[in-house]
Amino acid sequence: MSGKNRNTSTFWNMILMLPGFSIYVLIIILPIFMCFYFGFFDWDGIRDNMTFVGLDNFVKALHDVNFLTSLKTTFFFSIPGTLIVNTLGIVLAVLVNKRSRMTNFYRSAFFFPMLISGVAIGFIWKALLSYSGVVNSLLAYWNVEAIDFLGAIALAPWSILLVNTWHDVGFVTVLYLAGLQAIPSDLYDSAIIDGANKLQQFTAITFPWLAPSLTSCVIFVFTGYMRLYDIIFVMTSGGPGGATETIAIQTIRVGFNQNRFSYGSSLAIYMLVIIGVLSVAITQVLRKREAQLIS
Amino acid sequence: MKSSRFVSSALCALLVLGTASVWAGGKADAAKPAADTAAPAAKAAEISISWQVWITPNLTRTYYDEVVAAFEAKNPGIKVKIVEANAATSGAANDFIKMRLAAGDVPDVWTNLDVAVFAEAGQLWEIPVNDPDLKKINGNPMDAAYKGKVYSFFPSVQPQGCMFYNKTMFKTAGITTLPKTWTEFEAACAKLKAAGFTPIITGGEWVPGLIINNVLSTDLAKNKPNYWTDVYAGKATFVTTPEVVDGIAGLQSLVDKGYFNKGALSIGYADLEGQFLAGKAAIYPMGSWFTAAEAAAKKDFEVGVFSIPTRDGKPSLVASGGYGSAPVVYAKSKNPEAAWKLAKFYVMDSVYGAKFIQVDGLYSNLNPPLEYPMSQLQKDLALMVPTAKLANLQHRLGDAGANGFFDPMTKVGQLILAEGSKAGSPATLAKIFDDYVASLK
Repeated sequence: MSGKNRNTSTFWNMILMLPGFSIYVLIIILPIFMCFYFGFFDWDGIRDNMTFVGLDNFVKALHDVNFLTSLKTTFFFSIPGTLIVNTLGIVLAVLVNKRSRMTNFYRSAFFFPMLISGVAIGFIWKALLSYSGVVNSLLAYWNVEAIDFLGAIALAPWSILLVNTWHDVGFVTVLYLAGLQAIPSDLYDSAIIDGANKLQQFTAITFPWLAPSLTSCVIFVFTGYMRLYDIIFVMTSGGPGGATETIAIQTIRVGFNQNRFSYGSSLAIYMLVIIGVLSVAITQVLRKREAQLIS
Repeated sequence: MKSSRFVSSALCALLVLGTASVWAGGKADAAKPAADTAAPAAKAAEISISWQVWITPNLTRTYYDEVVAAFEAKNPGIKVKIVEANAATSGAANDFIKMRLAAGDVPDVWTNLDVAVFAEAGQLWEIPVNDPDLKKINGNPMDAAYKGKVYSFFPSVQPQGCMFYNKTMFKTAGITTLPKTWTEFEAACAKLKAAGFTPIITGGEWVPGLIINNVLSTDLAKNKPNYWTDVYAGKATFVTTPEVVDGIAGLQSLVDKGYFNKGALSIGYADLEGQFLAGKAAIYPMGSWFTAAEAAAKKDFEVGVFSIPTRDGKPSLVASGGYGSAPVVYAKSKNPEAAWKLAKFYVMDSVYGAKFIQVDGLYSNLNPPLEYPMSQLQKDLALMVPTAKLANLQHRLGDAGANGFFDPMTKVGQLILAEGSKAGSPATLAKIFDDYVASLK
């Protein structure tokens, strides 16, 4: 390709990319910068004028009990959530990793929850888990006392974790399944000849070869759980008594319910930074591990 | 290669400039008066105003169209354009108006929002307190003032601190007199439980916040009508206020003794109303808007009402004075006088004002009062309205309630309903309110 043609091609590539890129900048990049900007002001989102307060909002957040509690709640979902979803995902993927007619069915079945919106999932599970819901009706049929899955402070966070696990485990299973099916079968043949049992095959071949999938899945689940909003909002709205209030719920509540728009913006920036820093750190660690395992 | 980089950079720069200009344009538009963008070009002699209405299952678009037609017929030369905000998508019109303010496309008349929030932000038109029509309202127009200025008024009374009860269950349990103190109330609950009934039914979502607001406000409105003023001045704290601490302790005691329905926090508001009307519990704490549903419901028992008990037994009915549902006028309206005419017509007209209070179970605060055909329950409640205090923690007790105060009230209400006294001492829970107020400074 001549230099002129390449330049023309690049020009048209840029033109074609422009609509998508514009939308991305308008709805993702620009709001992030605006959020950062508003964080330096005292503004309720209503007044015509904003008052510059420097770093006050960011400093105040560090002493805000509600923010710190919501951060703790967010980690309650993200750390066990990431471990549980990925462990289950690997187990399910290994169990269904057989090249058969059913593989595609399993893939579709596992992936299905991912196709439903978080709001719809929230309503469905709320109908199942509420005190007078389907699950408690079944328990009553077996003469078991009803369980307050969503109204008890000790149970509500676990109920939310259960629903999110159900939502995401199928997706990571499909990713792990794809990873498993890319492992050369002759590796297993050699291992069998060497007398390796199933567990040894898993630890020596399967798990190391799944390292790239693991990195992707861990980051996907971890960042998703750090931003949990829709399912929680529908099922408990952050209750009871703040037991399921994540940073995302807290940010929206502060910014819009309490009309503290600029303070809410500073919380959103904290959320962005925390997720960003942890994601980069986790990615670095897992990439190093990938290199070690594969070598 | 250099050339392609140049093209990429140029396109990116264009994009950034473009988005920045859109943003700047939006901000510039926001500073313009609303009518510039909101209203279509009007005829020279005709004034055009826009009205943000609040659509609910009762207050339908058809109803508002009728109001507009009647208003325009009485006020030739004023044309009204309806702007719909819908109760199905949020609890109040605050967010709707915020979006309109940000977009610079703001209606002239607003309804169903937190007046104090928008008054504080300088977005409301100060209404003329010497307007002769305001003399038709019971009390002093300054009762509705925010920081010495009047932006809204109290055309109606909305009793909130009501205890609706199943008369059949009360009779079966042998309760002959209605409880006035907390001790009497607990005794009644004990009788109901002993008779095999669930004494009180309540739910989750926003309902626990309403219960806290009403229980605490019942004594506060009676004993400390300027409570928020004192809190802001540092003369009072929630932790050291007996009305607050005792109210929390009273609710915790009811929960500990198992007088509330099990799994209350898992029940939504819509189910809650239906369960009480289906005879699942004896007492239903709720606002007067329940009377409209009760009137339409088919059931085999009668419903009565009493007010939330007080510490000394003297009656005090917590109410809202329509501070929010009463319309307000946008500060930058080009035609505030015409907008003010519409605002008054909507809630004070003998036909449409009466219809407005009827569909929401409100009581007229005008003299002479607007009247509508009432159910027996509504008539019973009307007898209690003279004891109503148009004050509560959420809206105003002296000064306006702290911005977003319903959030900590809901949190405390949920903690109590979930765990009773295990949620912490009354002082520990009251401290959540003090911490919240401190966090706003």
